[in-house]
Amino acid sequence: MSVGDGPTRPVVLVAAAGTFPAAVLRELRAGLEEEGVPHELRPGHDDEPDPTALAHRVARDAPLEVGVGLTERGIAVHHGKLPAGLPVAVDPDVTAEVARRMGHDAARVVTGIPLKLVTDEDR
Amino acid sequence: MASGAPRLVVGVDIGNSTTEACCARVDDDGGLEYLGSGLAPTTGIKGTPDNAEGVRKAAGQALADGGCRWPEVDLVLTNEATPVISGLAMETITETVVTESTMIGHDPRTPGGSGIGVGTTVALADLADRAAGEDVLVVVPAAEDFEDVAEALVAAAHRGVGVRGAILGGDDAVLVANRLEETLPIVDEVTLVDEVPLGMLAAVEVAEPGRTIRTLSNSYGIATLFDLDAEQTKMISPVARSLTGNRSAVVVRTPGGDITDRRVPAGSIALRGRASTVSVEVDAGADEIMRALARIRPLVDAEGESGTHVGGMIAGVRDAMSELTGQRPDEVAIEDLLAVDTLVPQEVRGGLAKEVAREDAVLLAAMVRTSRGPMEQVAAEVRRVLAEEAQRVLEVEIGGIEAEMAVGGALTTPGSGEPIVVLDLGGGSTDAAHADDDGEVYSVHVAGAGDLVTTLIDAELGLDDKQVAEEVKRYPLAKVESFFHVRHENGTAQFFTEPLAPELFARVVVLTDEGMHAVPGRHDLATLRHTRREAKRRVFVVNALRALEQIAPGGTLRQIEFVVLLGGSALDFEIPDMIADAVAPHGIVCGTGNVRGSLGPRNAVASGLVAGHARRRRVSGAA
Repeated sequence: MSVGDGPTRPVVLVAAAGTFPAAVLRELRAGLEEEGVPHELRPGHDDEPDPTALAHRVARDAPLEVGVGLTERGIAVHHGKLPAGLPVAVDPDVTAEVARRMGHDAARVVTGIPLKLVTDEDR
Repeated sequence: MASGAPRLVVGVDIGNSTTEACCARVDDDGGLEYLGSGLAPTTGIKGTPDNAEGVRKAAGQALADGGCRWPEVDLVLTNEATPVISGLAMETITETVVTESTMIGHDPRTPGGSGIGVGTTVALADLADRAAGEDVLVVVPAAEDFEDVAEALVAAAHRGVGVRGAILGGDDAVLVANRLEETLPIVDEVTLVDEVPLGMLAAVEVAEPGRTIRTLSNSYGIATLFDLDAEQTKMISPVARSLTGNRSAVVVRTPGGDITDRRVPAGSIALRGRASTVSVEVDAGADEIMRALARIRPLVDAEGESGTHVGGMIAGVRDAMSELTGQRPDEVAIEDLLAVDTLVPQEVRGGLAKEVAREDAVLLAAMVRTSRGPMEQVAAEVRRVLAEEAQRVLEVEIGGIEAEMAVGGALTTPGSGEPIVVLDLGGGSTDAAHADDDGEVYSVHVAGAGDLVTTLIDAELGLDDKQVAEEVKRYPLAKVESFFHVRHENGTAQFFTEPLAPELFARVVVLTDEGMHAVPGRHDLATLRHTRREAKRRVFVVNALRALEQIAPGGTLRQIEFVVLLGGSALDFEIPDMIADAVAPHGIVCGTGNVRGSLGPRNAVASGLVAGHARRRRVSGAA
């Protein structure tokens, strides 16, 4: 896992701040892995409680231009080229189920596959 | 009214979906000046009194457009709207049925591992009981955690159990595969994983990314794995066929299990001509039906075998028509049919993962023409409604035959001339009218037009949504390639400064007037485009040729010089080109009409009604 400056291999960056159930981060990473897209964890962002802002911050550093922000307030997927206020997806529910979907969608932005997002049936 | 003064005349064309109007000043010696045009959706079914509201709106628009007011109107002309009503029905004539869960043939996006594994199906919970040396395929419920699953598989392998593959309920195949010590084929997202038969010999195959399975899609491949004899191989061959093109598959050898590809009796249809009647089995396919129809043409009526699907469909058309016209069902005669073969995706009965098989189906469009009866009621209602507008009783005339009026309007297209054929590409029927050098007009109506195209697209793509199908028909496609650009179906790229919605990301979209709409499902752009164009070709190109052959002098297309396309579908972005290409070898000038040099394929009948009135006035003035 890279901790210093920007990683050199193509990865999605995942920043997890604050406290949340361990299963949430695990499922988030599982979603990325199931889609076959590599990622790295980015610690040291506990100053940012907003998942969208956090996701955008790491997305801009990510070689694959995709970042995931996980805080107590929610989970967000962002793309470095998108305006900060317009994430790919954001959900205030910090649950394993949402995390898994966010992991899939972060990977799918990279591979160019239609996103799962949240459909009415999921709600 | 005073003779000699110019009269304000309104022409109204009540179409199946649109009511068009124009207003013009006609002077005593037939001089004609068009003032304005209008267009409104047809209210109610064409040829019924409900149409009056649409007439009020369209005519009101035309008057406003021409700077005129209702009280100035001297005469309202409407077409003789003999409603040409079409009925559509689709009959699936094959059906794939899986009994006792013989196979799993869906296509999950991310299966795990690769290769082929053969073994006995075992539930994950029972894996610990299996003896060393036994070859197994592990069946895993959706709720199981991927790490627990991987651990159990590794542990079993360490005990010497031959774990050859896995079948998962959840979307975890890659996760499990990544945690194993050796590469195993793993199929996931099997919706009804609990119904996979246990204790049976089975095979799992997963191909490398970008490849398709090679063994389970080959009858002899399955025969080799399961040691089948010739008779058994024959039985299993539909399984192999239905798995073709998948990246992953499971085949279970259940002794009583079977997959059948059975033909559904769709019934027969009797086509009655003037001299003879021919009966055709619907499941013989569209070509056979159309050949029979060509033999007995002109069609006097068609009957469906009672108690069959086709019988029900034809009875339905009759009932709808009889309700509309007050005619008895047995007085309603079907004057034309168009049969189209199609392949429709249908969920496999007995499948475990929402598998879909493409089944043969026949689509039938039937066309019925009614007597003029109800038109008088329409005129009466129009008179009543327009009297409210004009504050006095207006003269409302049912003027002229629609085909003649259409020709009159089409001839206002710059560059057109006689001998001319007008092809009106409507919603329910495709109509052709031919005017010879003496101005004599003949017309034919053939079944099948825009609605049939929509139905074909809907069925073949398995959309089950008429509105989406309509959009796929009407608008070009594009693929959203990033949050900022799309690739159009002709290969050109377009950049957007505002990011596109995540819902559209990586989707195929239709470029509607209100923006991009994602097409549901997993169809790629090439498939959607091909389906759309083929549907249009099989309906409009086929019908254009059918209508032209019936109307051309001596049945020879070379006798026609000009074809002017009118009607809603003449506004389509590709149908006019497809028809022009098809008739070009016959030396025909074909293109979309431009009525009065400015209205495109719109307003031909309305303009023709007024032009016809002006002509009659000139003739009577001269007399």
